[in-house]
Amino acid sequence: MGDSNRLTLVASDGGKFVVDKEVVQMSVLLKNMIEDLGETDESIPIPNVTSPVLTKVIEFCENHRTDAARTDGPNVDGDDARMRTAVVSDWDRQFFDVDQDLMFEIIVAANYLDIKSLVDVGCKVVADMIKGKSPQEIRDLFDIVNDFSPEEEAALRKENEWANDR
Amino acid sequence: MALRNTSTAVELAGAVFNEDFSKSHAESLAARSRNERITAILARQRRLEQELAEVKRLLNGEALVNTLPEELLAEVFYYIGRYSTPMAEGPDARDWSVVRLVCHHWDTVIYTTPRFWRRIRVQRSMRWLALCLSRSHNATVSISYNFRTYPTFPSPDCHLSEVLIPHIARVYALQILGFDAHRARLTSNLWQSMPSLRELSLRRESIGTKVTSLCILPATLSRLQVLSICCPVDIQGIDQCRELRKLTLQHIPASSLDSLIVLLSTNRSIREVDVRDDKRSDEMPITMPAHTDDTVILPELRILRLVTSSRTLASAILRRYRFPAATEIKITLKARGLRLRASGAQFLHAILLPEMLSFDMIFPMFRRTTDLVLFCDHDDASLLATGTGYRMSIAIVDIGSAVSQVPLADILKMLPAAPVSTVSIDASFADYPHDLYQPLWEAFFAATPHLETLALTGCGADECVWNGLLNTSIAARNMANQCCPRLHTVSVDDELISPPYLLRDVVSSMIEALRYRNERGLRLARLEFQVQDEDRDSNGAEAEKQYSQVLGGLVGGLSFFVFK
Repeated sequence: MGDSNRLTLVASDGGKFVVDKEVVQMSVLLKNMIEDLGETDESIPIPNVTSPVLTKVIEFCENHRTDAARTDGPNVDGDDARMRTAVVSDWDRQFFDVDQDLMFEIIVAANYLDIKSLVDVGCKVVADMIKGKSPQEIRDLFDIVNDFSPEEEAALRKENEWANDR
Repeated sequence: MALRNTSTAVELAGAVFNEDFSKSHAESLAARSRNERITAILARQRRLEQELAEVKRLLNGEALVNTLPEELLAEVFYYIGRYSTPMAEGPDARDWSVVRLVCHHWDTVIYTTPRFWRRIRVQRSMRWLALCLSRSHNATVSISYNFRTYPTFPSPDCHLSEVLIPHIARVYALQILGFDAHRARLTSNLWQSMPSLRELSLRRESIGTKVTSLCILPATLSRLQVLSICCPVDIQGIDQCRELRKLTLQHIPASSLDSLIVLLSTNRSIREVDVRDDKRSDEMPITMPAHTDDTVILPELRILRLVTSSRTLASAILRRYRFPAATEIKITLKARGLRLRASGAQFLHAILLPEMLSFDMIFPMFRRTTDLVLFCDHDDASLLATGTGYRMSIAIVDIGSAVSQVPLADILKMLPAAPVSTVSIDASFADYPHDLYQPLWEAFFAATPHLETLALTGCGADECVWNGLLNTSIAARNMANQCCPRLHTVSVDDELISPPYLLRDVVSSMIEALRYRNERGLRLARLEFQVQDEDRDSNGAEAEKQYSQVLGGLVGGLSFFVFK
């Protein structure tokens, strides 16, 4: 009989990770799965997440395990409540100081596993990368090419003129 | 010959004609085929451009950032919109104009996501308002309309109704900047038919004019949750509101303030109240009405900011309401100079000691006070209390050229209820007779068993403080107890370094008190003297040396801080 407070996650490439239940339960998907399974020694497969990504996800959850229960209070405007917490901590920023491919894989994995805090932090980090840059600088940053025709671009700029009350 | 000539001429003309015809025909044919060629080329160009555009889009689909699902990409974009309150500075679609220009996919995500269009800031362009309303689909919208930059008439506001009316049922929040009588008439018709309206904000930045507009809130707005009025508007119908969570009233006339009392009693879920008026009061004397049995508890209220000239309002609120969950209390009474001479303390007294209530019944959080600052000078008198999770400020300002008596006696009666560890008193007791003053200090030390740090400004150079500490220590000892057993630091900011008159009297009291406490194991860790440079005369260094000689051995550390 294994430790009832820990369970094993299996990544898509077969990598196994023994993790505290408390940490795993930051994922709503896994939390529901555990509740459905009840007490079990079986490993839980995570078919859409590779070992390097799962390693990072677990690292995040372990670091944030104490604030897992923290939720935003009720607010008239839910969007506002989320924007209020738009500051990314130093630890979180350091956590996402990785290659773009890994960064986006982490965010997608967090979305799949339903780990809201990780999704939020990831999106904020990407938003911070975009803020203050010109369209061309953003394209350069993410290897995007300009796929607008001159007419389409002009139409968009015209709309922006309306926005600026000209 | 002539005929021949004529014939020749005709032939010649025919020849020329034929030649011209053939040439133009050939040219026409050539032109047609050239046009066709160009048309064909252009068609090919379009196909290639379309193909290239398709290739570019395919390429962009492979960009790592675009592997994010659209809902996550939208989430990223949403965080780019800057956040700030008030609503007028909140994000609206123009904050994503740069992002939209990056690529088709990003433009489409923003274009098709209603929440990017639901906050709308409008100054002039009705096209922008119409565009945002259209793209927000069925989402509720928050509109901030700024009239400030177009004060003249005719102004674009005459189109506002036309654009807004088809969408009026989903207006959740409305802010009007530059609100005045004209806009009151214009917008009151709109409010009548906004069933979803929960937040209403009326503002005017320049309050130069004292002209008061009349604004009648219709009964349909009884479900407002946030009401903010910051302009001289006589609000009628405000007492119909039943679901308010946040109320801000500034610059409104006294007649509208009167309804505040009713409003609070009918909105018991209110969380934040911020009321300020512009007047200064010359009401005399300061009296507070007796406690009323009609007590109203506001269990949700966290923030109460009341800056008013109306003692009637202040006292009515304090007598009638209880705020058990408040985390921020600020009550400031504005006076009008000379006519309130020496009334600051009276006001504090009136608030702090209601005849039939203890202060901590009104504000139970006061029992958690750890830091207390009492300030009293020629113009202001205030009490600042902070504790775990709350902050409270009670003040009277603009008293005018008079030294207020410090309501220390009032505060003393509250202290036993609170675990106060830090006390700062900035006040002069010069006008107090010694036979009253010393017992006050004795009572103070007896009432602060948790005291660790005591900072005295303007009153440290009086032997009554030190005699009070000595007498209380003796009294406690006689009761097999200890006076202020945790007191480790005393800071004195006064003209202490101006010998010789204070040096002799105060220091002897200090020595006696410190020596007695040292013998009972209650030695001070630090004794600090804060000395203003201008008060430190040429003998300052010598005086400090004398202090060090007589006091240095009685405390853990003796420091002198000279500041400008």
